Amino acid sequence: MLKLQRRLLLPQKVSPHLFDHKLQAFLVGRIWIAEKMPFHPDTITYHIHAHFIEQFQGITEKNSCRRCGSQNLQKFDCSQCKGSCSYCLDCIIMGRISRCTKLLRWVGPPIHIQLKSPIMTWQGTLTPSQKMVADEAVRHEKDHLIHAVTGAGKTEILFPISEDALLKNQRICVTTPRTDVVLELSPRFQKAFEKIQVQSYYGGSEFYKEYSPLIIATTHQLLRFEAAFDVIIVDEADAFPYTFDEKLRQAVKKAKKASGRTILVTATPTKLERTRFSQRKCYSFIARRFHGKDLPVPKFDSLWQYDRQFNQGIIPRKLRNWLIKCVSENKPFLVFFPSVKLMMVALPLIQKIEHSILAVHASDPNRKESVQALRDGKVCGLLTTTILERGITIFNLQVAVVGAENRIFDHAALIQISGRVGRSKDAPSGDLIFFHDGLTRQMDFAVSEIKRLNRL
Amino acid sequence: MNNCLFCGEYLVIEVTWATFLWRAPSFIICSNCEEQLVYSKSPDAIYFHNEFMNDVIHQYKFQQDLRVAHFFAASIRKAIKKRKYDVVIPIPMHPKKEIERTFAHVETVLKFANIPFQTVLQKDTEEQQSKKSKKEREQVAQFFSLISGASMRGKKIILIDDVMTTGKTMSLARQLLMDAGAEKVEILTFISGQM
Ligand SMILES: [Zn+2]
Ligand SMILES: [Zn+2]
Ligand SMILES: [Zn+2]
Repeated sequence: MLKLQRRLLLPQKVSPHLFDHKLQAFLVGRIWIAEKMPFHPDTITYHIHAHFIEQFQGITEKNSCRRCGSQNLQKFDCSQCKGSCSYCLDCIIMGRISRCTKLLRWVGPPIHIQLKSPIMTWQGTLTPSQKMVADEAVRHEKDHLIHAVTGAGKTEILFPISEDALLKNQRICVTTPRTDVVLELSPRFQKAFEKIQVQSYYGGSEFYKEYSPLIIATTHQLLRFEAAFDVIIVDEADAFPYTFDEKLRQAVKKAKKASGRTILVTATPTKLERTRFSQRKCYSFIARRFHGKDLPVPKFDSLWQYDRQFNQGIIPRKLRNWLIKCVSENKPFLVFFPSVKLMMVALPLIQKIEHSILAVHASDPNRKESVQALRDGKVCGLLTTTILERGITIFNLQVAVVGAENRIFDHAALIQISGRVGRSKDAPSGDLIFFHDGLTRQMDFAVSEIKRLNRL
Repeated sequence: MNNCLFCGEYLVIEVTWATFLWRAPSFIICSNCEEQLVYSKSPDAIYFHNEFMNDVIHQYKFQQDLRVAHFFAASIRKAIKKRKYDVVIPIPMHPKKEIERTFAHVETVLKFANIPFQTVLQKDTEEQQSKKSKKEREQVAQFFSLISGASMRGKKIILIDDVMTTGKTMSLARQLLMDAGAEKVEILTFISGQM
């Protein structure tokens, strides 16, 4: 450090090689608040002075946040810049950015890490159709859509795609809107690529100072990156809120290098995506599950006025019977509820059938543990909101939806929920019941789509 | 469109006390969050310190979300209405700290609440501190003083701070003001001390 400081004071030209490699490893591809840098301010000043780091204002001249692009700003009288200032309300959770906040970005030499082959430590084999899709995506080298039915084994398809990128010395990010999916994917990727540190980013995740060529992140956390990745795989591209939130789509674009590409992976592509990727070479499709068996088709069963019954302290009879059956046959189950409120009313009633049953929802800090308990057979079943509609694989799982007519269960959600059943070769089917208080078009559409895929 | 200031939950506009209190529709909290507020039994504080309040303070002081000041402003307006006083005085913040945080958290609340206040207390700079004798320094954990020439003669004063911690700060400030001739010094914090 002293050497750097002395260098800074000398009037000579700064050498293009004289930079802190740790700082480079940290800041490459990131966009970071200067105050929150895990480096000494003098070190940072030197790098700014020597044009290794670019420094800019948190809010642009056009009044949008430089990190997330939002224009949802809050004005205030600032003691720091002594005047009218404003800060971004949309990304405040990642550290407040105001007009006078200094943001940093690495503009020095890029990082070169030559990974030695073989990089992949995954020992499994792909089915012929999995292999075909992986090859198509690798060969295409441009934006690509992979349409894979639930249970097609899409994570396995991502391994050779990631391996290919890593061998080309590219930086790759697998992103998904949901923390749960990040938590599910991270250990699997780490195991498949044991030689590198796979970093995972989600709200409240670990802090990494090192550089990693392979990152698993929620779409929200992508906002911390800029022009970082050669390949961004958007997993569960259809998952709420991605389809809803144009901003998160922009986050993907921003985190990608100009030369980079996006690979969308989804079980339920939207119409827009289907048109965008309609050319044969941009689109790969797996219609069958990896074990070759049909997708389970949901059964409809009426549960009239379930809302009122729960509120009167009664478990609707048909649901009660179904739960008792699952418990007595010792089969793990999930019951999806349309709202946390209703689920919390139902929980104590259902716990009378079996006291170990738990409920999970988005703001539940223990939901990781609860899902693990179900997987380990320590609890016989979970009540859940749509939070567990995807990314969850549990052997021999039985599934019921309460209130399938509710607006929150659109056809994509219902198809995803259905996809939780029969994912294993040794238990390729299971109960899948949509309890409802009236039929909806979304329910019909989900069923006809599942049937259509089974015919292919 | 409105979202809860604390949890971000979309608000279906229900008429709660919050709606009346704020009258500014962009700052409302949801009934769920409202339920988690515990009022202090002591007249020295508005809210009781609990986990939820911890999060609120975190959002305000650490995340620097100034909108939270509107919540405390509404609370303090209500709490101060019944009291008889001449002057409101906030516990000062170190100027360096204020620049770092970009705002003075207690004064901002008072401004938002339209409560006039006087800043007669000041945090000592380091030089001033070193001028005090060692004994003097040991006696007080927080260093501040009355700005020179301020007279509090015969005044009824309410001292305001965000969180009551040890009470040392408050008793020191109270002593300074009494020494300057104040008739009575009451204390009001947003949140009671951690138990
Ligand atoms: Zn922002
Ligand atoms: Zn400012
Ligand atoms: Zn709330």
